[in-house]
Amino acid sequence: MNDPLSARFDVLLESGTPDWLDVHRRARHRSRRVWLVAAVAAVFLAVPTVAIALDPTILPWNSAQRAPRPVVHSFDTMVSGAPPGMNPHLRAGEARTVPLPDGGTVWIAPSATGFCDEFKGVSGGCQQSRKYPIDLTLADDGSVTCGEKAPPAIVLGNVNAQPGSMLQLEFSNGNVSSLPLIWIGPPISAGFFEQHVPEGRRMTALVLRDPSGSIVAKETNMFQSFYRPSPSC
Amino acid sequence: MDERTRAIEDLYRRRYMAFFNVAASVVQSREVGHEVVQEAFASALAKRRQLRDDGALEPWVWRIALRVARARRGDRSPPLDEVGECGLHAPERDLDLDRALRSLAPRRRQVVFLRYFGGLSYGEIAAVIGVAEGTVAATLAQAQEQLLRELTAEEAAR
Repeated sequence: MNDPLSARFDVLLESGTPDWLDVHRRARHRSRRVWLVAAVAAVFLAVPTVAIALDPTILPWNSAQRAPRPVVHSFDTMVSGAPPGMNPHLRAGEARTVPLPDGGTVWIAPSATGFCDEFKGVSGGCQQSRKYPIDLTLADDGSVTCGEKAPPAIVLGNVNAQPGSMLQLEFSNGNVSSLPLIWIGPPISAGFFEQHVPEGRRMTALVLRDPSGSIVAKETNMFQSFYRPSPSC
Repeated sequence: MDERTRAIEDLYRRRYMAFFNVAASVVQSREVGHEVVQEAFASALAKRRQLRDDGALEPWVWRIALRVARARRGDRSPPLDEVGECGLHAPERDLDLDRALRSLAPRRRQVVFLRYFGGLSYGEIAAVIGVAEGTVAATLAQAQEQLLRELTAEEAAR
């Protein structure tokens, strides 16, 4: 059937100015920024190859402050707006606010099988299957660097591991620093981290160790992608 | 480059114009509309590992784009299936249609944008805003009827 409105809308369509390289650069910066957040605090002391295990803080879920209404609503839209098969079955009304050691904030809402989180001003995601020990995001601070110097970055995410596990950030100069983890009790049962990494420090790996020091998981690929030169350089 | 990155790039190159026109209408600005699309695809790239179903890529990116657009408008509270007050991003090009669009309820307006500017099918719109395909068809039919009624009234008033 002929749609009398189609032609009227069609003449209004504009082509815009697509720029894929710009998208790519923004994505790289976003990732970079995430990695940088958590560590600025004194934990960046150079401690070659030896991890500093900070005592984890285990926060009972019900003692955490409730998330503000806009955040609850934002989580709620993940349910109401989810395409078929992607509904995380979040309990948005139970969302909580958790302050992080580096001054950041993460909002968390439990779901049927896991949780979704939103790191204030940076990034968010869902951990539904809990099959990945480390859920890592790297983001930059929005600055463009094309030289050899590593740009400032933010490291953030969560770990699916037993409380007392340690998260270590390794650098190209051989230094290792521990990332403070905030452990949240059931029903979340995960550790959260966010750390800023200053300019000039090139990260190479994020290592998760169990309380005895054995390696549980090690992420390296994301760092290689993160530091790959932008196509615009 | 991984497969999903390639798929996102392909989607961007094929569908930039659709995303741009919808986003520009929601935020009422060509420049900000372009920013919304860039940010949405950058976000999709950064979070691509979170997507569980490759077949749901386009609806997923649309949802991100609508969320970014709402954030740019400063709307943190409206649900995803509503876009708040907005009309054409270049209202001077068709003032009657712009006025008619502004008379629509937010949900109807969103469906209209996704249909006519986004070029999405009923099923695709349903996947983006999370309602049944029949609901999309009904909403669009009501929106079309209201738009035609408003446009007829505008013309009769002259």
